[in-house]
Amino acid sequence: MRYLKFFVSALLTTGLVWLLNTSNPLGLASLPPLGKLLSPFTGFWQNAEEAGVYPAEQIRLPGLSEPVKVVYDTRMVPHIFAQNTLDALRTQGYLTAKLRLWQMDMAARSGAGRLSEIIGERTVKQDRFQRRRGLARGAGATLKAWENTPDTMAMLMAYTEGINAYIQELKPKDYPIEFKLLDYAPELWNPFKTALVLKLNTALLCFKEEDVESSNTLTWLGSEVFDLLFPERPPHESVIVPDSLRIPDSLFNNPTPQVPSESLGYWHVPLMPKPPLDVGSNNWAVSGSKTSSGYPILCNDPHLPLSLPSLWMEIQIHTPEMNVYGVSLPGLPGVVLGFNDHIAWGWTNASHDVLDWYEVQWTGPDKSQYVFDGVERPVTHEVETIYVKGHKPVLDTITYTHWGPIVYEDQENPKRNLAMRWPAIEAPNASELGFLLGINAAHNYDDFQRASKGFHFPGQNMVFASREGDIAMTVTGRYPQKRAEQGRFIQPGNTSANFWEEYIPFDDLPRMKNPARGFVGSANQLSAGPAYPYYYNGNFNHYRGRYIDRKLAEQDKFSLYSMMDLQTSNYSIMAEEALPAMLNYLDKEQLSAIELGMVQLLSDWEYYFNPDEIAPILFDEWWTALDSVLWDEFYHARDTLAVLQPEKWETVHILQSDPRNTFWDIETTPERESAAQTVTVAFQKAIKKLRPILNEVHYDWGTHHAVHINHMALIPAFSSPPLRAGGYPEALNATRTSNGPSWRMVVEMGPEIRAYGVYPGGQSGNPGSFYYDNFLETWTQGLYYPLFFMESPEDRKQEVLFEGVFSEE
Amino acid sequence: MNLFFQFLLTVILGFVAQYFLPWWWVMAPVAFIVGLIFYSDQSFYPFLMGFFAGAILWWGMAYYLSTLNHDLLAGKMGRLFGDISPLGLEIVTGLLGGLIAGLGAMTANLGRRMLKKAAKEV
Repeated sequence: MRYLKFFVSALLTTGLVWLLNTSNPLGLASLPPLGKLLSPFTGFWQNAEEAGVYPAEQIRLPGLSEPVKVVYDTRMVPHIFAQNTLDALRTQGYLTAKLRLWQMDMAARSGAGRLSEIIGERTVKQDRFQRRRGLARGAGATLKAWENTPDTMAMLMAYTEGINAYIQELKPKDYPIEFKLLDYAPELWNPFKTALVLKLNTALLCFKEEDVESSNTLTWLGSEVFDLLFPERPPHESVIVPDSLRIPDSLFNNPTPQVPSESLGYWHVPLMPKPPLDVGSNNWAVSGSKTSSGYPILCNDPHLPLSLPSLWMEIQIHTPEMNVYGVSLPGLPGVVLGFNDHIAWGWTNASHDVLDWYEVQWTGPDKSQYVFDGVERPVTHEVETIYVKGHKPVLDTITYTHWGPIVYEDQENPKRNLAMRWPAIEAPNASELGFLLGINAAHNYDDFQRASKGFHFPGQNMVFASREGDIAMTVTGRYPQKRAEQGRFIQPGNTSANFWEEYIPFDDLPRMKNPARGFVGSANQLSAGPAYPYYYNGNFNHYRGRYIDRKLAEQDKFSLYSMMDLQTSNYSIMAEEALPAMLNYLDKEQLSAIELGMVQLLSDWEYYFNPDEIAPILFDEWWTALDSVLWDEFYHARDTLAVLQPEKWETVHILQSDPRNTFWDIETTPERESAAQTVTVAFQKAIKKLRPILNEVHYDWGTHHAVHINHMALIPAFSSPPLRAGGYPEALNATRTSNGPSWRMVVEMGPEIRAYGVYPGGQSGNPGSFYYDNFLETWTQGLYYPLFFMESPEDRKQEVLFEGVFSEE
Repeated sequence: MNLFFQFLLTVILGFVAQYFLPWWWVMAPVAFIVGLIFYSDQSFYPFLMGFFAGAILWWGMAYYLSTLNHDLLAGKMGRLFGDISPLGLEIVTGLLGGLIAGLGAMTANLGRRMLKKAAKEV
């Protein structure tokens, strides 16, 4: 009996300890190891940062040649003062890891298709997708290119070793909380992971294409209707670099255009996930002639998927060679967007289509050979192994042609396959990292141009302003030389005639410097006017760019503050053009008294998507309803086929000038609707949907259109509450659900550089820190922080929080 | 008196052990070792002693860390665990620490009594 009692008790104790030390014990899904997690000595309680106590730090960082001083300002922005670039980047690596280690680990894993190792079966599909499109292969090729540039590599190694110095200091109790929740340990960093982080963000910005949808739509509608509904240029275009302002190109002979083939027929393929909608950005610069101070001002706000921890981290790096401030991307050395002692710069996505699909013609049923220029070519195979937490590894065989990997198989005809050509992962001379570091240290326009030359993917519209008084815009990137319409549709992959090898030479890219109009600006619209000799296509936005051009042309005395107002403007040209036409068609005799009240609200509205207004809800829902009844043919077609959706500006165009278009008819009704009838039906449909919610007290655009910023692992308790941010995808303040301005910056490049900025998040990645999400309210209200561009570690023009000294000993 | 020393020793050793050893060492083995040193005829008292020592240690430490943090993280973790208040989460932590230490101490006591009886019979 006494033996039994002892053994039962011992078993109970060890059993309990085991249970509490294991994740998903007894097959209970997604439960972290509770004992480990709850123990106040090792678990999450250790991540609860003490409020308001910041003693000076002495940190040993092996590899430093001289001591480095770091001053943290009151927003927890580190200001690094080092004697040389390598010391500075080593320190940057260390303190970025200290603030954002888990985020960096996730980005590298996500890029490599290794999420399932820590999460389980849920992410296998996503991992498979990342490997299919070859981000890791691309990162490998990129790293090889970096290895040929010893300067870049030395900087990357210093940064990497800084990160690893921090990781090696950690005991399990110090791991960021997400490591504890998912029960895994941080891996050491390496240069390959930096390449992965770069490729992941490249994919976010230049993976967008609609070739399958375009081909299907062309086959469905025929070329006459297709060209009518999907013109390549909008009726009111406001391009980035107008023909009259463009710096002349070198001589160029356009290859003969080839009419796209309609004979490829319908494609039934399960499309890969697309980058989120409404990814875009604004940037502009005005010269001193248009500002009240007489100095140039530069503004930039990249719109991206928002998350916590934030994509960006603010930092200042000061060495004898450079003094730069801005936002960095955890995992990449240097500053990505910002300004230094001499110049300021910012980016928007160029949005060119650099991804094409080719139909591969197999010679036999085993799909091991395909025809190219009449010759049989063999494929190669690579097996990807995806390790899955708690399960057997998943194997995925990927077939490669010389175009690229086979990604799609037609579901109704497995013999038809599509290969992907995406030069962003080929990266033969990739030096994006060298570019970044070069621009950090640039002194003038020429330095900036020289550095930009190495920047290939993702293609960006780079705005520039200098203290010398120059402003400039360059469409930077590596863009294929295409025939007219090449790459809009799926192309036959059996001929080298469809293979593009040449890229547009850097000197021929659209650019302008100090134009007479006194400003440059971009917001993801077309890069150049119709006279630009090279063909390009892509996914462009037009309304924001037109508004920037309009406002910048209107005025002459801009200040930092009027620039902030413009950057956070909720005004939309799309509403300005669409709403009067919609109201014009509305058949008011069919409307009830309540509906007429709504019409009055809309008529009084001035097209600002402000959070405290109701009219934007009515407009947005009416527009959505109109889209679904006007283009109902497309919605129906989409049940069985991937097809395009007409652009918003095409809808506006038809509203304004084409009441007889056959698409006004609603397909499912026997009668033939006029434009007026369809617009009225859409209005009533929207009001019917809105009736229940509009009765709620305090229901306005801020509630309806609230922005939610989710934690990267979608943990609700670590995510933001709904934010009443205002804005609209077609307004400069381009917010939508979880997308929006991820960093707002305005900089005046005078004798004293004055800069303001804000991003929706906080410097720390730790949900247990007071610096995790402390910028959210400021961002939501459209306010800014004055950025503390420190002259020396002793500079106290603004308050500081604490200082750290890093040294080898 | 025995029990009080036992309690004190568990708390102190448990606190020290955390600096060197995995989380579960903080409680179960420490309570086991302490339980072996002191003797009791009944297993219930050592369990109670271990339980209180473990609970005080874990709850106390959690309370201390969370107070310095103004319950910021405890509030979020509480929501993650199904809307438990920070105090509730500290109590759960304390109960867990108590249970592990209590079981450790009880096992030690049963073991010692087993050996003692076996020795008598020889």
